[in-house]
Amino acid sequence: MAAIAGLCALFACSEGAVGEGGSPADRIDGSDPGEPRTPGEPEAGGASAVGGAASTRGGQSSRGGTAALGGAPSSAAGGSAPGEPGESGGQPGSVAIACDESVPNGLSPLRRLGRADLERSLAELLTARELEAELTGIEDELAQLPPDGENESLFSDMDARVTQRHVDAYYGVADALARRMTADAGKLAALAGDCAVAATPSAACVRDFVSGFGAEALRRPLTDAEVERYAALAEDVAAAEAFRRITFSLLLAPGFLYQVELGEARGDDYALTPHELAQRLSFHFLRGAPDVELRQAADSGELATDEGYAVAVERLLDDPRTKRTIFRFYEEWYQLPGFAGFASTPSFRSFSEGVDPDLELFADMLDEFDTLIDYTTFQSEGNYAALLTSDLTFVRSERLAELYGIEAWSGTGLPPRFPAGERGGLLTRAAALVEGNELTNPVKRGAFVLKHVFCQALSPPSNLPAEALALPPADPNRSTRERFETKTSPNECAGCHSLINPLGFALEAYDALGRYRTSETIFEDDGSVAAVVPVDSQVELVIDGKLVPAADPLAFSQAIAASPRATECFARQYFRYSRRRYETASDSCTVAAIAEAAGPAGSLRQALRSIALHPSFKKRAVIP
Amino acid sequence: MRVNRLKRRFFLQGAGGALLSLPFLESLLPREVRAQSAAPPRRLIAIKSYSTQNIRDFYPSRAVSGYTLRKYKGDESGGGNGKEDGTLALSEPLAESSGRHSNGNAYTGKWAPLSDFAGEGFSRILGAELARFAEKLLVLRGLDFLPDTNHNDGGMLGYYKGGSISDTASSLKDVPTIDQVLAYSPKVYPSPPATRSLHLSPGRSNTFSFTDNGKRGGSITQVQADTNPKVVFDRLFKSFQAPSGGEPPAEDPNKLLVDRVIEDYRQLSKNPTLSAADKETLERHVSLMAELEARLGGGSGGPSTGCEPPTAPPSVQNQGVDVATLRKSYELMIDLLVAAVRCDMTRIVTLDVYKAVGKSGGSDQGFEHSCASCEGNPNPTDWHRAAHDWDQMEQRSKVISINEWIAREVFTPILEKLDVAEDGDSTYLDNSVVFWGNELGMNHLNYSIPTVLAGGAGGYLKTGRYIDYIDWDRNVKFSQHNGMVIEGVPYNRLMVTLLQAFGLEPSDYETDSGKGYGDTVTTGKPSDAFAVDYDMSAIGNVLPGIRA
Repeated sequence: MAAIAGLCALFACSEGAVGEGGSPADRIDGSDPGEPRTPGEPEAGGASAVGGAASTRGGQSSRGGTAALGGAPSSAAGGSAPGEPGESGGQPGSVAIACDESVPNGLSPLRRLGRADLERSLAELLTARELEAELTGIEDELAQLPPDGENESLFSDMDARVTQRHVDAYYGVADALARRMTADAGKLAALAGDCAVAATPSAACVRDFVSGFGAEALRRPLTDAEVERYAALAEDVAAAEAFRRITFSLLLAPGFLYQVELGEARGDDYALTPHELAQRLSFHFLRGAPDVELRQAADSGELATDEGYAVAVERLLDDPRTKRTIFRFYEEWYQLPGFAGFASTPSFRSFSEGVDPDLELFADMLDEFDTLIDYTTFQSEGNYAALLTSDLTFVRSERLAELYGIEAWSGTGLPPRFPAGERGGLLTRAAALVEGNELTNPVKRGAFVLKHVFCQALSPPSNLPAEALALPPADPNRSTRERFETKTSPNECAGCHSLINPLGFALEAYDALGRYRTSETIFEDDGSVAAVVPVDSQVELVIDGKLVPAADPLAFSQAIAASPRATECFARQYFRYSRRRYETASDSCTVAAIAEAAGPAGSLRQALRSIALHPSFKKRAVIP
Repeated sequence: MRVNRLKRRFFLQGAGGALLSLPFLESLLPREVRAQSAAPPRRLIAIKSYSTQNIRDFYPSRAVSGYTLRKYKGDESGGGNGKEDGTLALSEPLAESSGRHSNGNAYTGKWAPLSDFAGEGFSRILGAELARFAEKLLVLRGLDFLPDTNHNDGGMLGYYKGGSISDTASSLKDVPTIDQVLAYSPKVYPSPPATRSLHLSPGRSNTFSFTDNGKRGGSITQVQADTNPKVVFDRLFKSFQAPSGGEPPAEDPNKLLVDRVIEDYRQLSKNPTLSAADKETLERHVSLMAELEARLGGGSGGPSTGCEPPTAPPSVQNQGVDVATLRKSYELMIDLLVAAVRCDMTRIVTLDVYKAVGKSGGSDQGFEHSCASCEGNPNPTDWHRAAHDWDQMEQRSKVISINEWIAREVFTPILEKLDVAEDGDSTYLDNSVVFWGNELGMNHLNYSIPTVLAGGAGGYLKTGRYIDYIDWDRNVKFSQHNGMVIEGVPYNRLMVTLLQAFGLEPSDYETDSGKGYGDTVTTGKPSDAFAVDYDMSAIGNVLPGIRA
């Protein structure tokens, strides 16, 4: 939540829509949702309650903060499935989660490796030959690869663009690396064995290299014809040039740069081959090429058996690289990588006195955030609700512990708990709450929860009165909540804001550094204290048609955690991240399976397992 | 040792090489031969700034003898009101009609020589430092986006669909931005250049450029910008070879290997079980590889004589909003841009000014247009936020100071560094168009997008003019602050002008769906509240009064 898409002050709330992410309004590029530009009377906000609970909107709460959330997602809300079949990325949309077995599943558009995939695949190839030092020699060439997803995708791995810069960078990397790996006899021997050092390597030496290195680079065995084709490159040249040519060609091949899946015909679609399965599992969990165990399981055919496959999945779930992949999922979901640092204004200095926040403190916050995920997912078989409600502290840093007002955790054994009612789960941890300055923006926080935790579509309103987006004016006599309530009280705002505001007001229990508070200090620009006013973080939410009062942030987190809608949103987000595209109607069963697995009777580990065990994971649907 | 690295230059390379089947074109000749018969190439350098310009600060608004100054309602009323916006009124009609009035009769835009206003600078933004370029500038007023576009990424170059756009977005046309039409036109590059287009942005990798990678009707993707000057240098100049006058470089031995790799992609794309989209992905890869292959080795071309590669810059990442870092980043990027143009490494450049330096409380302050972590909070570094609080003089002056900085430290230095002799009497600037445009008009209106062009596109443009295309006889539909909604001329015609300035003809860029370039739908703009009545019969024409 540290970096919210755009200014979330005003959004139109589209009825029942549950898609998100790729509509123009939804991009994480900081683009603005709407602007004042229309004369005359603006139209009403066009708001509706979330999840078909329209009748519960507005006016019910004596606290002026009622949000209707949950309820059944409207069937195929918003119409068509996002993206054309076969398109990678596609357009996001509003696809009902209810599993429809009659829709063919298993879409798997051809896509290039992500940057992380590529770098780890290179590392895998080189490390196996003790040539990993060569990677540091091509940093300049790797730096030519455009970053994935920056400002463009919900998750960076969803970026499937292939541009001239990509292709030129692939060339630069392949060229530099092939030269380096064949630069002297020692490296040649490491790359292709002692036989490669001969002035003219034997045909067998060349073929062995092509079969071995080639199978690792292309992540599948080569056919005899392919071996011959690569081996022909070695004709009539000296050893170093021969192996350079082969290596260069393999590093530019489609089988290396793309996740190629052709499969074997089976009825109406194609079953992935064992090597394709190994590749899919590997990029899915490890964000890198298959390791030696996966390759062996594919070679032996073990991976093709249900039992062997299940063993492989369990092993990957325990792999530390998988943990890193999962941490990255939540960090990108909560938009933490964009955190830009802290202000240096007098008012912020006063506000943060004694803390002196810096990026190191933010790193401590990230560590706690990741450790909570680690514990819940990998250590304790917790489910998604546990992740949203856990009051266990995982704070190893003294500085962060002080900010929280707790004792630091030693890092082993069961950690201490937060004081009752103070915090629960991811949404209430400092990493998710911290701002760059001293002011909280409850609209921004609320819009994040609505949009990213409930997957509620928010589209920009087409008509806004002038200055609608200006922040409520400073007022030493009124709390942030009161100022935002007044600002968003006009009829044309209230529709959406009755949904957004309570979600943000509940989080007013935390200041802009994530400290728990019951009062709010208002600063003058020069850093002096203007006033101290009480904080009101009590709200009433309507979730799944029921009114749920939330007296403290833990109750708020529990209310979200109890909503099937929130769990469904988790399933969507994990699907998008790990399959690297928006879900379509054909993925409804897969997404439903993830949601079920992460739900009350399941666990997050089960959810990670469920996507890999789902039949759709092991095949490729054929699209004309 | 990099002995046979990719030779990064050289679209002037020879047509030899068994694998090349390029037509024999004049521009493939060695430079000294070509120079005798061909004009220097034309280039486009597009600079985008954000969140509006105050109209009165951008256009001439000082009392000048012979011109009438329009009344100004004053800052206290929000700064201008309708036609009383405080700008200078022009009186000299253009030779050609600009459109038609609401009654159907032709109307004609007005113009004035820029030299009439050059004394203290043309305006507060286009200040005294630009006075020496009076004869080389074109300041344009009254260019209107037709689609109901709000914040956008590609609008400045003709793609209105991107960014946070209002509810017409889904029906808008998917077209590349004009820089990409030019970048893939054989009329701009008769053979593949070192880089078809260079996209620079100290701050974020988003660009205002959308490409079809040269495949007309292909899928459109947003181009990514370079944010680190070192990465740009490495790509363009690290293995740059100055002219030696000796033997032409040998063909790169990788060329044959690349050709063979391309065959792998072709073979795979023939797999009958692949979807059409997968095939398109592979075919795109093939065409990108072919482009690379054509650049490899061989050839007798060489850098222009006036070309000096820049010194290697340091790596600058995560520019933040530190003033010194931002300044340095822009300096380095501008040097790279100028060197790339002068060395003919590229003819198409975009520079996204998403981060900039302005004044806050009297001192220099870095700004980011829409700072993800400060958005929505009164952070002093939030340019967009300042633009929203136009009623507050302090906030307004931040926005103005940012644009003054862009004019002084971004736009002007580019002109200065390009205004050196290239070919006979003409300068690089004379053969280029440096186009400083804006995301939107005043206060997020998409009318009268502030536009200034510099350079003559090799004699195509009639520079030295301030042209006002607004039909002042019409009623103002409404106004906010210093911006008004009143018919001018469709922005599409600026796109057409720039495309034709590079020698393109309508058949090179028009699509089945209509004349001109870019979308013309005004859905979402009711005619009682918005200016929507334009002469659509002229939508495909070059702007009036602009062609030499």
